[in-house]
Amino acid sequence: MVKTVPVTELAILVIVVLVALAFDFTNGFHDTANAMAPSVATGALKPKAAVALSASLNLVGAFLSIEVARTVGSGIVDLTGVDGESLMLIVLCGLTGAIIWNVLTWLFGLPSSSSHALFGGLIGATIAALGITGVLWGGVAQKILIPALLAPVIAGLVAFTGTWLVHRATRRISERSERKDFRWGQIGAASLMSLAHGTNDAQKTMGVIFLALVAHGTLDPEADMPLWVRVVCAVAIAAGTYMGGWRVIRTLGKGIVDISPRQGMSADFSSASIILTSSHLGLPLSTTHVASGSVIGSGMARTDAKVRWSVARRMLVAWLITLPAAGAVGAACFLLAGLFGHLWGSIVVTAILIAACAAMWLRSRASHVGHHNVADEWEQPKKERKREIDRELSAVASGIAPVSRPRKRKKRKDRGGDR
Amino acid sequence: MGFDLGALGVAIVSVLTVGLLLGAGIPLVYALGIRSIESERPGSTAVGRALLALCVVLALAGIVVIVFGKQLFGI
Repeated sequence: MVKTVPVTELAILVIVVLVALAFDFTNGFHDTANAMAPSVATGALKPKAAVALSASLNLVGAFLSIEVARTVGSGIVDLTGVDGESLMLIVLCGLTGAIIWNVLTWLFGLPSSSSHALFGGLIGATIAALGITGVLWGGVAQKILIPALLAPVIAGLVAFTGTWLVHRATRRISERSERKDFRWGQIGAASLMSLAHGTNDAQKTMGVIFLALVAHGTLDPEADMPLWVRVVCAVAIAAGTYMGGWRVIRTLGKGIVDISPRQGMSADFSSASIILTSSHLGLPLSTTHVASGSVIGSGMARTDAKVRWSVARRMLVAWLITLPAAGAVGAACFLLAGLFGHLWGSIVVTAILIAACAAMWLRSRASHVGHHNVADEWEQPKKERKREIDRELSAVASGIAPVSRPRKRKKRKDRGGDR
Repeated sequence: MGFDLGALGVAIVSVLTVGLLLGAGIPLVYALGIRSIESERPGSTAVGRALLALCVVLALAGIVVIVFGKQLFGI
């Protein structure tokens, strides 16, 4: 009996580390858009080249700083006095809530914050385990809520200023020069943004794995971050980035505003500078909030482009419910795991996670967005659909086509078009 | 954990200041460089290229200060 306890703890630790790496993968996958959406949208980079460049720089960025890793979890939940297995289970359930929310928002193409999903999941699981007093609400306000409100505003302000200045300085520039010369500026800015993303987001998973290792007793709380943790986290986020969350790239690059090369460059420089500074200060800012704020701010600085506020509103709703939604999943997972005991509870929660992600992935195949159609015009399909419906209605109304057969006729026409 | 409004305020002001200096400054310098290269005045191409090189230096300096600032300069 005595011998089985460490084996159980080790098994839970292995599960937690694997699920944490899965979270890191979804984080990269979900956040490719933050760095590369403007470049893909303007055609500065081909979609595949964009994700490859972003993945490489995320990998490098993950090794540059560990300031954020030191702050993850600390000051948000009070886990003192919790035994190792329970702590690892709290972390596992928090990660499960975060992954499910990340994949769900990816399915809807919504750029929501992976960091908030992670914190939400951890808070939910902690409330389920320790009650409401287990959460340090002052820390939640200081580290999550206020930065969440301010990050998009600051990013929007900086991007607005940058875009306005750039447009003023290059009012009389030729269109050819804008396309050609600003392309390189945009690629540089997007590369900087990818590097910044690596310095900030890979750290969050490193912090979570560190927490699990401390809970297991493998590491001392004051120990340095082990190299293997840094390497596996860097590889996981880079692999996720390379997969490319095309749905989110499409929304951020094409949905919110039609991005010009000058605007894309300003938005990316704004995001990169803010994220690098926040990484330096150890502020776990949401890169998604920063990138989205920059895109909106740069769109507002242009008089010839309109921001699609309906898309921005959907995104805002997703931001508002990220924390409670991931928290609810995290709490539900912890309560469910409690029915089976620590080890079997961990296995059941992981099985639910795999099943939920597989179901969402299969659902995504119904309306596939990939590198081949990520840069298609946002409003074109809607206009085309409307035109087709108008044509069918007028054909029916004038008696040319029978009422019951318009769909069949449309199908034949589509096939012809495909050929 | 208490709510440290002072520390949060300092962090926000730092992020905003660096954001405006680098995040809005580098694109402006780049834009001025492109405008100079496009202009047909004598010497403008050299000025333009110098401005583009300055952008690269500023971006690299930003990374070095932000990432290695503590080790190198104690900031």
